[in-house]
Amino acid sequence: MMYDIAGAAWVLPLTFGLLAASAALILIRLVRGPQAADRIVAIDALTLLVIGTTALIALAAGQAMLLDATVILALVSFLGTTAFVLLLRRNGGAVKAPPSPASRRPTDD
Amino acid sequence: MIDTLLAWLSSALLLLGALVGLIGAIGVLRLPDSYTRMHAASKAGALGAALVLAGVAAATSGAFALTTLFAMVVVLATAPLAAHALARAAHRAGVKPLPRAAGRRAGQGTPGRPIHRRPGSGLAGPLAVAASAFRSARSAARRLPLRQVAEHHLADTPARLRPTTLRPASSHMRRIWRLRPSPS
Repeated sequence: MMYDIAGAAWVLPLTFGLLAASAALILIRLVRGPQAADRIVAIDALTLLVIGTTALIALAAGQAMLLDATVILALVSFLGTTAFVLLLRRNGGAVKAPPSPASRRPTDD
Repeated sequence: MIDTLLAWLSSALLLLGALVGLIGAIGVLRLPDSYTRMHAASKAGALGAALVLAGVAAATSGAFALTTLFAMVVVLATAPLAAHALARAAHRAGVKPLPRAAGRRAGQGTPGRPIHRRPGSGLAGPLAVAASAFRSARSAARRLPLRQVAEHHLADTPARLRPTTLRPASSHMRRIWRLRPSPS
């Protein structure tokens, strides 16, 4: 896999650095995100980032096979996001404390 | 000639894609709300990935153009679908968007009302600013005597019964005094 990039000596490391910085920022949101929806958004953004990173690794390592992996990842990331979406429940996915038995009212039935 | 052009194009596309991805990541981290974060993640992320893929296609001078083009099409087609499904599921799960005032408090948006968009003013630029200042001054002047009237009515009530603020305690009092709730 031959490639020809103007200024490849600094363009490729700079691109990798920018992508790594974006991944770090998104990871902060993934850890911090107050609701489940925020974490799913972070995972979605992370997969989109990984698609670009995989194509770039394919370029830098000269492995044409990784481009196929990129295509597969692009196809699967949609399924992954959709599967996470199906897990969203009421209350935004925030963990709710179960009602304690002491506060439960006695029902006359 | 074509080769050098493609080389420059590929480096430009790679850097631009990484920059757009970084902007999207900053948006995911910094925006105040789930929905605004979705907006940053899906659009900027998909554009960044597509630009990086186009840069790869240009770097190999078209040898892997079909593969990268397919990946680009898949990304650009499925990222909005995923974002839409996510936004819909979040809305149905009861995730509330941030109200306007809270977003303004978090540093997003413009402080104050968007005066150039107010219906009925038709004025633009500094004229609209002047008109808005005049309107707010007039409404303040309208509000002030009513507060004085309320203070007059409260003058002969004992101090322990007097409200600390002049906000009407009920809609009944509001109807009598024609007081608006004070902007807090």
